[in-house]
Amino acid sequence: MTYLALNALFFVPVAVLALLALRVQRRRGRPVPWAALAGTGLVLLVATTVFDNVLIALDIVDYDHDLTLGLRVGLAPVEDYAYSLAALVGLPSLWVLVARPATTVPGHEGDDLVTASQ
Amino acid sequence: MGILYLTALLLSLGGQVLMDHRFRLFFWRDARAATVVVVVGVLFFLAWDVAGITLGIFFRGVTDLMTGVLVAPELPLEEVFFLTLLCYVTMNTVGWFTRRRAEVQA
Repeated sequence: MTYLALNALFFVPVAVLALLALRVQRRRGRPVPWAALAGTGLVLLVATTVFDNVLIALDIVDYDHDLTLGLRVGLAPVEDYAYSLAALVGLPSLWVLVARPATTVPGHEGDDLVTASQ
Repeated sequence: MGILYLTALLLSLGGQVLMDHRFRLFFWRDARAATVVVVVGVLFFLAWDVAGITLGIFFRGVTDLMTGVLVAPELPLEEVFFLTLLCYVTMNTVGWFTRRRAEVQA
């Protein structure tokens, strides 16, 4: 199995989680924080590029390049970005499903904490 | 030299904790939910790692920057901390962009 195929496989549960989260947000009448996700995506893109190149340059990780696409950003195989993308899509989705509803409204995080102290 | 990578990871995690605490980004927003997200996230990524290692796609390199402690074949202890950092940075950043704006209540 190639690195790409492996990543596609692991993306299935991530996509399912995201769809569930979208449905829950919609049912609660809450907006999806697209700007926040885009901003986070940008941060992760930069961070991943930096740390991945550093890790590879320092021989902390190595790959069988017969199983990679061969497309790289510096030293980093493009497939490595799948982890960061999965984190970006999957983790906030899981948060939506397990966090107290008041904490998922952009700009109103901690609302329940505020009212509790009043 | 053996603890350099691990030390760098722990320092980064410490920085994330400070940011989280200061701005109520993740654990300081909902500790229970944050715990679930990090635990599930790290376990998920570890499974992904194990799959990749089992399939021979990637493996640890030869370096004296790591402790040499493995939690599974070819899976360094440092990777657990790295994946925790990945999850923490992701959620802290989302938390940063969705934090409550300071506003005057009428």
